[in-house]
Amino acid sequence: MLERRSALESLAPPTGKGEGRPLVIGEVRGFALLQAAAFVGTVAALERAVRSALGVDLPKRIDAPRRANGICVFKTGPEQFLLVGPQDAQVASTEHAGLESSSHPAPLLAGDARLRRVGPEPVRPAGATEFWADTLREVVPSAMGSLTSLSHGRTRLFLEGAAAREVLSTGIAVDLHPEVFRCDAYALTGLEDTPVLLHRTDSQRYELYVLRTYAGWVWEWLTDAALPFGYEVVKKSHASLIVGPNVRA
Amino acid sequence: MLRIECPLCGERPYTEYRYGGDADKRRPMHGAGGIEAWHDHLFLFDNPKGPHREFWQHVQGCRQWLLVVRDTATNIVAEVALARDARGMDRQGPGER
Amino acid sequence: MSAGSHRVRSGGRIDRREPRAFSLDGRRLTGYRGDTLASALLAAGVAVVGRSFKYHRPRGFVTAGVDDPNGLFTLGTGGRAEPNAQGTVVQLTDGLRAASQNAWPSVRFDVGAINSWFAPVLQAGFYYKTFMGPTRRAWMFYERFIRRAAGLGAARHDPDPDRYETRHLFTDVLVIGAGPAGLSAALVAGRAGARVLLIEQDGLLGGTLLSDPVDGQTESWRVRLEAELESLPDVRILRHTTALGLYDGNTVILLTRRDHCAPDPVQGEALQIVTTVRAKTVIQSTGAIERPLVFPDNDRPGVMTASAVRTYLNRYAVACGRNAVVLTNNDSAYAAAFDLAPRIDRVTVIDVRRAIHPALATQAASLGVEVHAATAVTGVLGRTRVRGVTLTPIDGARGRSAACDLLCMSGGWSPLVHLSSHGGIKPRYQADSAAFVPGGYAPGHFGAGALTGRFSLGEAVATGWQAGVRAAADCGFERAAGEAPTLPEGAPWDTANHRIEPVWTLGGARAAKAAFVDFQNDVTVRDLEIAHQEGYESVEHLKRFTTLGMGTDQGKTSNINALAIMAGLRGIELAEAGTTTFRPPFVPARLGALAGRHVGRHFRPVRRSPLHAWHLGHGAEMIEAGPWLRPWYYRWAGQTVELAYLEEMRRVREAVGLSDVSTLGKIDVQGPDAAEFLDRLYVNGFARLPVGKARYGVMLNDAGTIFDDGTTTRLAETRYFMTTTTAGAAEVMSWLEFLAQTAWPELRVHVSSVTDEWAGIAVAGPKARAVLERALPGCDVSNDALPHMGCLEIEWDRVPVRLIRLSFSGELAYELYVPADYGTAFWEHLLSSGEPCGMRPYGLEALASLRIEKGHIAGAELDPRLTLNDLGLGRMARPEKPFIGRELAARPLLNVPERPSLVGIECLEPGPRLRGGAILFAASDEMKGHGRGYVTSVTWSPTLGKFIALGLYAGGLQHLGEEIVCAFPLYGERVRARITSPVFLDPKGERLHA
Repeated sequence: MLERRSALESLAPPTGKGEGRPLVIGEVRGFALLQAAAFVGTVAALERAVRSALGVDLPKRIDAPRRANGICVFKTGPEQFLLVGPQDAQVASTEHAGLESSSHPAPLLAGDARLRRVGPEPVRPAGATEFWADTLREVVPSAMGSLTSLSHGRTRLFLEGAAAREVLSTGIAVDLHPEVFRCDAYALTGLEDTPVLLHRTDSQRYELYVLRTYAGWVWEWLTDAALPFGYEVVKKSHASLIVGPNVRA
Repeated sequence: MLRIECPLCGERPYTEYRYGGDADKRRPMHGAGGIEAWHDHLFLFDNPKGPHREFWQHVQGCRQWLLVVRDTATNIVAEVALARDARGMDRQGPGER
Repeated sequence: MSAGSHRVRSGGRIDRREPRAFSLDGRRLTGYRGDTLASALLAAGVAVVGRSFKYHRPRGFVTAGVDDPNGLFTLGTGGRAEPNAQGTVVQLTDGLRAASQNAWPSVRFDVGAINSWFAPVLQAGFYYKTFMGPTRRAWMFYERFIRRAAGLGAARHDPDPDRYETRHLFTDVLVIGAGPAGLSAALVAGRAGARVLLIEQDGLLGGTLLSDPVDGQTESWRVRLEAELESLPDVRILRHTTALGLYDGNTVILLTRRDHCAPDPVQGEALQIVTTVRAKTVIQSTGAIERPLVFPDNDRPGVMTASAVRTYLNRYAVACGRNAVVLTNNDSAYAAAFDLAPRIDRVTVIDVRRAIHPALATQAASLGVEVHAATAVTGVLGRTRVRGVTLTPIDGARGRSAACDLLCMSGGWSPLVHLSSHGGIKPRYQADSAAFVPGGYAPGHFGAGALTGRFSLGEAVATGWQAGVRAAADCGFERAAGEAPTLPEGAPWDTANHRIEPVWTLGGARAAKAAFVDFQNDVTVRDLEIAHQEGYESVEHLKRFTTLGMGTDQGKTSNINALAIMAGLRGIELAEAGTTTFRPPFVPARLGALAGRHVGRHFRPVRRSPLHAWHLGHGAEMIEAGPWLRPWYYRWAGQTVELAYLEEMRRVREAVGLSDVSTLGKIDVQGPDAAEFLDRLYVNGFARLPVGKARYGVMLNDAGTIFDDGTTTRLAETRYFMTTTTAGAAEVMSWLEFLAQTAWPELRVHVSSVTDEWAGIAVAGPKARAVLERALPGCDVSNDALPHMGCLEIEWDRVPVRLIRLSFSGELAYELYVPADYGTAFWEHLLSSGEPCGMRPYGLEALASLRIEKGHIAGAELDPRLTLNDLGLGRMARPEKPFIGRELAARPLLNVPERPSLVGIECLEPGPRLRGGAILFAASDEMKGHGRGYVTSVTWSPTLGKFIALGLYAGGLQHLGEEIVCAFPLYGERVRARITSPVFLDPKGERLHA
């Protein structure tokens, strides 16, 4: 199979394990993103569909995500949601209650076992390879809403440590005071004119979902912002990082 | 620095937004209205001192277009709503709900 | 005078165990930790620190704070050199190198002082008239001399090696100024539980309390408050921090100076930090500054404000003279007199008032201070240093001379109303304190302390306490805050609100040419009179005519005196005259600090394609294209762009090439009404586009002119994959969202940007099909299975691939889209598959030239001033179907045949080149004016062996075959050319349908 490469591959080589440092920065790999959006009158239907397919509820407000069964859901618009879940590779090695692969394998084309025809009029739309996402596709008809894979379109960064908040506040105009931006809070905001989703995953840990094509610039910017504090770069995979009471990882 | 309270995301500096022009005018129905109606819509504006209804999009947030009532003399924002929910908006078409 | 000769033996807030070596103009001097540059220089007996702006009069320090107009220095050298640094603000650090300004060869002997002889020439209006009037020509001659002579420090061209930071802070209560009022306010708000941000431009908290003796009664109060504030977890204190300005939405911009820490930029330490604070409430406790008095030769070194002299004495242990005269119109100056009396030889108070408070008189007597009531200073003796004064009784009796080496003056106090004025509130004149105070406060703003025109310590603490309680309550913190710490009883000069009798000029000053109002800009009373005579009497005119208040100090010490004098000339009340507009920044700010880290590669966000690293690793020269970095050319094809793009084009035309088109805007359009949505958007129809087909579409704006173009593919009944131009992507996305959310909310359609999700790769050239057959074995890419504008969605090795046959170059070509993480691997897979066909990558320059040969419009032609017809696309429109811009596209003047429209241009001369932007004339035209059109895109065509161009020409292809002239007046070029079809290559499209 073709190799997946991060937008930061050439920029962010790990420099240490990050233990006990005031600041650890890195990229989270190995997750899938799916945007699910309803129309004005179909949010309730979408919510039922998501609950039945993935066992997770949709958040009502843009403040804290909902999560269950390894899926974390952010609200990103009045009827729009961003679902963060594992990649297939991890699913295969992880038991997920209530989830069964029901996607139909696409028909093989003659000549090469690696080639499958999926469209036009797709057997299943290209763009997502995660079966939890495919599970959802089967219960969300186009009249109910739309699903768009964004697994490759976002780069997920994290900052962890005592200095994380101060580093972020050099570029983000959101009040990050711990009593205001509480644990598990998130915000859709700008980091120096690039749109980001900022999620406080722990008291001193933040994640940033940035547009992939800006990721290199954001990385250079963040590591520069972190310079006065000193930092290490580490790499983490999604599976080890899902937080919350319903998580089986 | 002008700050606008996004109904979904909360209060943010204007740098997270994109200005989208005067919202006082009713956009002619798609496919309807002649040159004059569109000309008036596009090129004729009041320039009030005081409350002004205008479009802003929260481009670095939820990407929603908002209807903002801003006082042009004081920059005080009195009201913000999703543009699609705002009263007096042009809601033509068969799917109006 | 030997170094340190003015230093008092004990006291002060300096640390005598920690000397600090520094230099002024190469002269080595020593001060102490805790000194400012000014206090160290005064201690060393340096009286003259600069020359005045216009007349080069010797000048010394006047104040001890940010208001000082005279003591400007250039600090440091090279890229670190900072001009116009205020000596009164600069913290003395070891090794500090200061240079005086505006004096050559030295401040003590200054060639430019000859300007004093020309004073009548340089008086008010000189600059104004020479710039604006008929003497402009003369100005152009004199300018070079004047600029050399009159000027402040010079900006440097070297890169600044220091680092600057920006950040955002939020707080419930922002307290600006940590004097007694600010300390009280911060404490009570902090005790109530509010988040408090207390800022102080000084390195120490206390404001005016720092000018009290360190062993005095107020010190323990100050220390106790500071300690308690430090102990409150939600109180944050920023020292060395100045509020530069107040902006909308309770936003305050702060500047924090860290110069004294010698920060190391390599370690990421910032020299200065600009903080954007969003405060729920703001307490303005900015204090007041002392006004000078206006009398002849009041600018001589050694004439200082009384409060400054007191500050130098008590805080820095510097006695600015041994024989002091204190000139005042209010009580506050007695503090200086009383503190000086025990430390120096002689102190005399000259009070212009007739009645002096008995308590002051008693204390003066007990300290041996002579007091003369109803007397004025009407002249100063000495040139580079005060040697004496002329004392004249107010009732007009003859004056007499008195020797002194220091003249302390107090004309009253001016509250620092700048911040409230930034918010658009005009200051109000408060007659009993002879001061302008804030005319009001915006919601959530509170004033406290001397800012309110109440100058006693007791009132400062009381108003601060009150403001703190109210601000905290405004934020929802009503917890009882306990008692205010008890203050020592006020001194006699402090308790009665300074009993001022405003006096704006003294002793024939009105006639005197050397009674200075604005020291920094050399504005005299005489200049104000001239302004008045010439009718420049409104405050804003006065300012521009005389340059009053336009220096780096922004007239902090001069504005009110000037306004009062002008009001007197006009015979109106000062309240009626009003003030000029106070604008940010309150103190000068470095451009570097405002830029923060937005320099170099952090200047603005840069977008990189998923293939970026591959390009860098394979010889690509990158170029900025909007926010993107794109491969310009690859070195496999040549070492310069001129060579490389020709080779890359040849490869595409003769074999096959591949290029990175990931930068195209990509939008996922989904929903039951997606087809209707696109039909409304594009001038051409998309509703009947079959699934699996792509179509080129053009969008107009509401005005009926060109907005954007691109290819949109129907992936399913309810799903389209739209591409936009690279440059237009963000605009198009916002426009689509605007239409979907506001204009057509009835349509069930979602638009989502997937620009970042998909890597895009174009494979173009006669052998493109052969490459795909090798790369995707088993996938039928024949003309039947995948005709021009056909689309296939496949999975290659579990990787989804969108394969669309379309051509920008005019060759047989495909665009392949894969999820971005797979972009590089798939690109490499294509490259290795294409190797036997000779496939090589090509860059932006070749891409652009290929499309010009084919006559495809792009950025330069997608001009919102143009119409569909102008670009020869009129036939695309389906006018029976409503689309955006249809109505206004029908405007008569947009449809006249003589409008400039798209043509091809081929060069008729072998030597010269065509240039983009060249103006087009008919061969018979006079070469004048705007011509008949212009060149939009130009390239050397290796295929045709000549320069070709696209352009707009009046009447367009009606002139096919006619000879024209392409003029480029900037270079004096005129090149003969001919109008051709814009499609230079393969007009029947045989190549792309192959």
